[in-house]
Amino acid sequence: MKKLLQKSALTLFLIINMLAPAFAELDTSKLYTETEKSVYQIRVINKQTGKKSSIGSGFVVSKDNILATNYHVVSEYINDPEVYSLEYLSTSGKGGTLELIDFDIVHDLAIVKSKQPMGVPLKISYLPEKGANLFSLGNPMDLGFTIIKGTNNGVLPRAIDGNILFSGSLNPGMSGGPTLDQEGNLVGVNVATSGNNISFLVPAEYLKVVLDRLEGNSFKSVDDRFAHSSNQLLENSKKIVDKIIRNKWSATKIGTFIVPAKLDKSIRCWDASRKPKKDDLFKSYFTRCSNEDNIYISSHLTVGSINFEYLWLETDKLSPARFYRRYEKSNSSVIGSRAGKRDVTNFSCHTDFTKIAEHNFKTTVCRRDYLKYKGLSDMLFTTALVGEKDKGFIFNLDFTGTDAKSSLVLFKRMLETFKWKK
Amino acid sequence: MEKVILETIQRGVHSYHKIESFPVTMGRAFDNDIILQDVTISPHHLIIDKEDGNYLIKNLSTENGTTLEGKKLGSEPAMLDIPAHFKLNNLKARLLSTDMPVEDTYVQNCSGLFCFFSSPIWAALLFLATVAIFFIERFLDTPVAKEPLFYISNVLPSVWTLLGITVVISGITRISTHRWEIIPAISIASMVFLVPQLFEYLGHFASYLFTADSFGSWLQNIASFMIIPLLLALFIVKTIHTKWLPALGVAALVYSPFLAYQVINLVDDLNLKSGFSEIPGYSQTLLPSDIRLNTTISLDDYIKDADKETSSIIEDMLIEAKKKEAKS
Repeated sequence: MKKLLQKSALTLFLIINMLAPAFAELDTSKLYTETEKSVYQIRVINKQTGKKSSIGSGFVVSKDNILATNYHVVSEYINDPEVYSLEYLSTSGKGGTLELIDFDIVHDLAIVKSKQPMGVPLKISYLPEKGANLFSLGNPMDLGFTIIKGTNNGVLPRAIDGNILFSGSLNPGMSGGPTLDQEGNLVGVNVATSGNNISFLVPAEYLKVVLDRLEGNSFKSVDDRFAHSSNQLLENSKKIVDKIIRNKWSATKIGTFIVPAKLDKSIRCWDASRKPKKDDLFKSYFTRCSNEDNIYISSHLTVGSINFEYLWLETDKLSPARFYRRYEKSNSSVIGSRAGKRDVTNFSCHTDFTKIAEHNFKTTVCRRDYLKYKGLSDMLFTTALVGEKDKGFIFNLDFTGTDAKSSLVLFKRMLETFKWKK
Repeated sequence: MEKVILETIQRGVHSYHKIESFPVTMGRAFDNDIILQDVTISPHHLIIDKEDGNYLIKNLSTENGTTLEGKKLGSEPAMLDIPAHFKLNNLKARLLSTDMPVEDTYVQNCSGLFCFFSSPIWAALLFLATVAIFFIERFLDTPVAKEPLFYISNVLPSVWTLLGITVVISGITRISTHRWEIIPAISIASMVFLVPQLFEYLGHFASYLFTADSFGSWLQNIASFMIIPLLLALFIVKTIHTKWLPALGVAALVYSPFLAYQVINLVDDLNLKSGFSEIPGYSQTLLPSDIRLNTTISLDDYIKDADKETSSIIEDMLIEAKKKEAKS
């Protein structure tokens, strides 16, 4: 009897173990069947050739003719509607044209509209607990519609507008597709991947903000796309800079200066000092900090970066003339941006000598503005210690796509916290 | 009997023949009165005769002919008015009167800058100063401890270049006066290196003094475009005793390969300044002496000034860009 019981228990255990994957498979296929008619491939078409220039995914949300996707999927069409048009392709191979209604450039979201009903709108829900299963849908590499199972690993703490870390394998072409919880509710929008099952989703709450705004104005289309982008980028930049200014900064010592280092959770600092050589006649310390954040505008343009660096040089072996030759070579700063002459003006710079931490500095502010995005500027700040024959200190700070006034305030605030400590 | 002088100019060499009896024959054959060794000259090229006090020229050449005052001569004799210019093919000749005034004697005086350049002591000092500058520049640019051999191997190519330029410069005098003017050539070649370097130091100092790096680039342009050709012209004027204008022409010709390079650089620079540049142009010079006209101002004032100035310039740039867009 005891043996029989043991055998029965073992059989039950094996049956449960065998059934578990079958249930999961059933969940995934059920989800796919329920939602596939609400998911589409979004195509940007070159009007002249009639051929697709980029593809992504999209899904029905809020109303039966409203689709959500990523801004970066449709950015060519948004920035150049004269050259490109927008089309959809369903899982059954049906196609049609789409029109842009609204977008959120900061969170990489776009809302488009079809002339006919497209399917059942997906319902937006809260992100489940960390570790819960999530299911991403899309059309990877134009190979056909797929569903991918992955795990929710929570909202990233470092990024300012944190994306969801999705441990599943998103691929190009799935951008703009929906990610669902086990009940089939929308929790995120596929946006990026770093490979090796490290993928990112835009939380659905940002999509809800855009949809609520659209519901409030009866889904009226955006008039001036560039002004709309500028306003969003400026508002976002001001918000970030204001937050940084309000933060309590940690300090670090570079040479004989105490300077701010960690301005915000989103900013990470690295030591980038050169490896000392045996025959060096001077010492040099270099610290570089960056917010590692970029907002996609177009295939060649991203904004939103905040970078700063400190360079300390000192010597007790070099003559002032020889030391300054080396020091001067380091006094050159540029902005790491691919903005070209169609995007921005030339730089306008102002240089003068200022008093910082009771020492004289040669300080420069350079600004260039975006031609299409009104009020948006790239700012470059640099200041170099002068009057010390055996010491050099350079502080460089740069912003891309920011509000000039806010960045000036942050630059001033940072300089005001510099302290000289022997 | 009135004597006349026949001048022929062959390969830059002037030959003078005193004519005491007529007719005079000129040509490549050895039975001529004046034998001219040039394959473009006919064996019997022309005859100059005197009839009733008038000088006559008769072309005998059927190959390349003779021109008188720019006009081609036929087989008929033509009248010569002294002084007369004529050409046997391309060989220049003049018939001159013996009482024709000659140019003033060039007095070799040792006053001014060139005397200084011609002194072997000063030439040696300038040469040594140039080599020293090569060493100093390399030394200043090397902020690590290095053996003397490192500096010697780095400086040697520059020294060879200096010597090469000396040979080229003195070659000018060798061609025209058959003398190697090595001492002034050493001085001038040294100055070709020293002056731009001096201007670079001055420009660097001025850039920091005025907080504007454009001073440095302008001084360097002056050194490249004016000072070096002027030094070469001075050398030509003083060693070959020519006038300033042809000397400047020769100097520009000798300097033209470098000048072309400088012009390309300048055009590139101006293009960059007038067109789009992704690099911010600001005063980056730093000087240990910290000598400057701008005084130190408070951070508040600086931020206000910077905001005001950059905003106003950017506004103008945006208006300009809009105008351009509207045009296109």
